[in-house]
Amino acid sequence: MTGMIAKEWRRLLRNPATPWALGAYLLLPVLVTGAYLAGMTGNSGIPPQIISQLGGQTLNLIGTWQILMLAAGAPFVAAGLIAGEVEEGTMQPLMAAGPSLFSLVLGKLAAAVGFLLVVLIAGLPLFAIPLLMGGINWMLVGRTVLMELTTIMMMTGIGLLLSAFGRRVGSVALVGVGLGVMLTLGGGLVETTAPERTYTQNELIMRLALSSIPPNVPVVQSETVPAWLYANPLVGLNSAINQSAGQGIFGLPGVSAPPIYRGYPLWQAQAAGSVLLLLVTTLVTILVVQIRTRWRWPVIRQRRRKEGISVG
Amino acid sequence: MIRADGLRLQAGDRVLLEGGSLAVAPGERVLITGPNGAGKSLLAQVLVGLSPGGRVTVNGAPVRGSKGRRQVGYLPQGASLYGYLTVEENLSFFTGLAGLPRRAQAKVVRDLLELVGLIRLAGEEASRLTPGQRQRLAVARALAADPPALVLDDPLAGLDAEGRADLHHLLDELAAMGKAILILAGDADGLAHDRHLILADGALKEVAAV
Repeated sequence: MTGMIAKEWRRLLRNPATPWALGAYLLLPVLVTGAYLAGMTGNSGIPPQIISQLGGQTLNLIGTWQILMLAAGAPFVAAGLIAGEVEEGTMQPLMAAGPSLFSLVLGKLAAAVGFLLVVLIAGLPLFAIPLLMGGINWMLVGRTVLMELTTIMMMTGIGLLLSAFGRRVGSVALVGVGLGVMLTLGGGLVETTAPERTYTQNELIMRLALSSIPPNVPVVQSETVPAWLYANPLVGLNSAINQSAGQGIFGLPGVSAPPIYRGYPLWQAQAAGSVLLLLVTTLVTILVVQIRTRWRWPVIRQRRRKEGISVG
Repeated sequence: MIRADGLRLQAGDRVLLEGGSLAVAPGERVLITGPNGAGKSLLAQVLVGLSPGGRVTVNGAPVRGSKGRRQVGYLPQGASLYGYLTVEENLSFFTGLAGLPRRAQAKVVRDLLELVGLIRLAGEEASRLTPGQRQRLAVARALAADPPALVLDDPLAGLDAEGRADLHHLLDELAAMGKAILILAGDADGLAHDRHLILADGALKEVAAV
């Protein structure tokens, strides 16, 4: 397994897009937060007590950005796990070398999740900023990191499954990243473009994930939560942060979360669902690879790559 | 010895081979030629346990599952390698898959590199190798688990005269080491062999020695 992890990490680090993605993941929140702090602590006339109340918003900002990046980045990282072997023509010698399908898929999954975990850990120091600003506690930071972790698990599982079906890494990455963006931002885009109306409970949760709304939005109670809502990590993030913070998150410092949003156990359900989804997608991936092996891996036309490697 | 019985190759609705069998003894080189589309690559995949299509055994043990597949070294068409890994890393990865302990891996990798004449290029990225060097590295990769049998699918494809000569020499050495070698190719192309079979018209026929 360590050999597989080392090989996959080498492949990822050789990808020219990786440094850009990592840079955006770390640099952009640093720049935005830096500018935010500079504005708050300069001659803006904003009292220090208000700044301390903005800690929750900053936590939300960092968590949202990192989850967005991870939701799109995890399928990108996972895209080449199996489709890459098929595209490069190395799947046959790999399978002939004798690893069991289980260890092959698990090794690749561990490589992708491990890589993203390193990325996640590299971004942890950013949480010092909202902690210094105040208004939040370690538990909220912990919940944010947990939601990032479950985002990695869920989206890597989805990316791995897509990779098992694909032949071209580029196509698989495009579909996976698109799916990650749609899962996180899609619902919010629909909400923001829809005409103003009364929101159901679920729509409100969805909307709260992406935008600031006043707490007096009329709410129509709804009894069930649609399953797809659990697949939006931003919904889980807001649920995780707002449940105990209760203020400073919805755009107006000192404004409490709407009663409907308190005590709603969405983030725990989403975390559990993400782990379950990872297990299911891993098992289905093993099944798909097994079936494709019996059908024989499709032979991609031989072509010379830039570096002169021929693929069969 | 590698032995295959009850071979049945099928591509879509077309039956390429029905009821064939073959056996290759240790140290023997058997060449199978045939026209394009005759099913040579499919036969290679059956022999290494990647496709169903017959009962294949090596020294009596079925070529099935993880352990079984390790009994047959496989050089697929195209000699695809991990271009982003060095020559040594390519081999280390496969010796690791073969289940060798980490300490033993370094020695095996070194021995294999010496065998295929790539020891001086151990630190070179695979993407920088010439076609002949890549082919030799792919043969070394097929030997990572020290299998008693080797299946080589079109090993001379894309090689220049020097690359062919190197590979011929390497195959001579492997046969001398007692490996049962099965070579599948479009034509004999000067490949040294002990027996020659032709896969065509749904049958596997032995060519009488001249």
